[in-house]
Amino acid sequence: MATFRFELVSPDQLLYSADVESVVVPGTEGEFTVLPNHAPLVTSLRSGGVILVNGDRSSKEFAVFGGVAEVTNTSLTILAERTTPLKEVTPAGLDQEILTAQTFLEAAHGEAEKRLLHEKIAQLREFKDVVAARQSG
Amino acid sequence: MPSLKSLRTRIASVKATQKITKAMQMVAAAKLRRAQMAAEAARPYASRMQRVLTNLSAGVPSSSAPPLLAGTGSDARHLLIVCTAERGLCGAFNSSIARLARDRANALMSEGKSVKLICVGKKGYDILKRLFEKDILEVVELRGVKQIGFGNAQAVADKVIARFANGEFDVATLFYARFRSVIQQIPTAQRIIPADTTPAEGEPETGAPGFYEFEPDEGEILTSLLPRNIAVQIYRALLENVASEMGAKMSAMDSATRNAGEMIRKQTIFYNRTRQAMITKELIEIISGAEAL
Repeated sequence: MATFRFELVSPDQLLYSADVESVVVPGTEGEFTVLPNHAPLVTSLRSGGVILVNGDRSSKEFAVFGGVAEVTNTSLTILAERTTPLKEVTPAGLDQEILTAQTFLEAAHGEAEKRLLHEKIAQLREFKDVVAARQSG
Repeated sequence: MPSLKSLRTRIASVKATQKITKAMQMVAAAKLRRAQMAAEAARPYASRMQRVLTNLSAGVPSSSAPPLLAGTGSDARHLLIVCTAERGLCGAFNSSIARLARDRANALMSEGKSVKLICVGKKGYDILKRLFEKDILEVVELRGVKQIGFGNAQAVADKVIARFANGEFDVATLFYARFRSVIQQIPTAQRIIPADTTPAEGEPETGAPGFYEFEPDEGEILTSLLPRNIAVQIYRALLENVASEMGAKMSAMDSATRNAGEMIRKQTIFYNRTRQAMITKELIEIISGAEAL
């Protein structure tokens, strides 16, 4: 099957770079799967899992917390704010994230800032449910 | 003529200094390797970010672009962010960055523009406070920081963005030393507000402007991406700076070690000559004493 170039970059390093068959990306407007020859697209990301399938059918999972994805016909680049392997993400860890975001929310002043933080908390809650369901199932 | 004992202590003290400079050189070499790796690891993110931003800004009309991208329409008030090291003993590293910032500040002031400064790193502040004490808004010290993380850069960026949002300045410029090699670090000025959207060198063109679809839309992505870009640029500058500092320190300590070696050689020759002269003098005294009998 055809493959395309996938790169996962965080500010500290280039985490993953390989030719892959498909990648599931958590866009802010909903999760979507990128296959070769996807229409060029730039989207912001929410917190969630990135699941990719390599050319040899092995798969790999990462968790990203915000960022941007750039899709072209032949490549997908994810600029993540923060990433960890999905295995290391636990509901308890996400609870911590939610708590931090809430503290920021209480300290926030601007309307836009508050709206952004509300969104972020909602995304984190959703992600937590997904992770909890995965672990129990 | 100095006594032999004082000569011996002088040689011993230079030898001790040489050991210290040699050790510092080796420490700097080890740290340089780490710093270089960190700087290289951070490069892909910065270059991809630049590419996405360039593509995005091409698709946004300048009338509706956010001020972080298009500027405030004036350039009367400048903010200079001067990144230097926390420590000295690294040759001209700190002073060359400070000089570049000072010359820029003076040039802007003579054009009648207002200039404010933010110093990252204590050494730059020490140099600049003599000239621009009242214009320095903030000093960020990274003294306790072992390995510069993205959080450090983010903190600086947040301060800059908050001041920009308050309308305190129109143009922000970042000063740091780009790492070229161990013996060459180039003091660099880089404009970060309004964002520099000229395509990075060596980056392939990815397509015509307006070639992408956007989700949610250009404006929203830009408002989240632009502040992030500033943090990324500062992060890159800080990492380059650490690598440059270590490179400068290495070559400074290398030449210090060599100078100390040269000094030891000269002192040792002088010491031996003096010792011989004393022996000769004593012999002459004994012989002439014996002859007198």
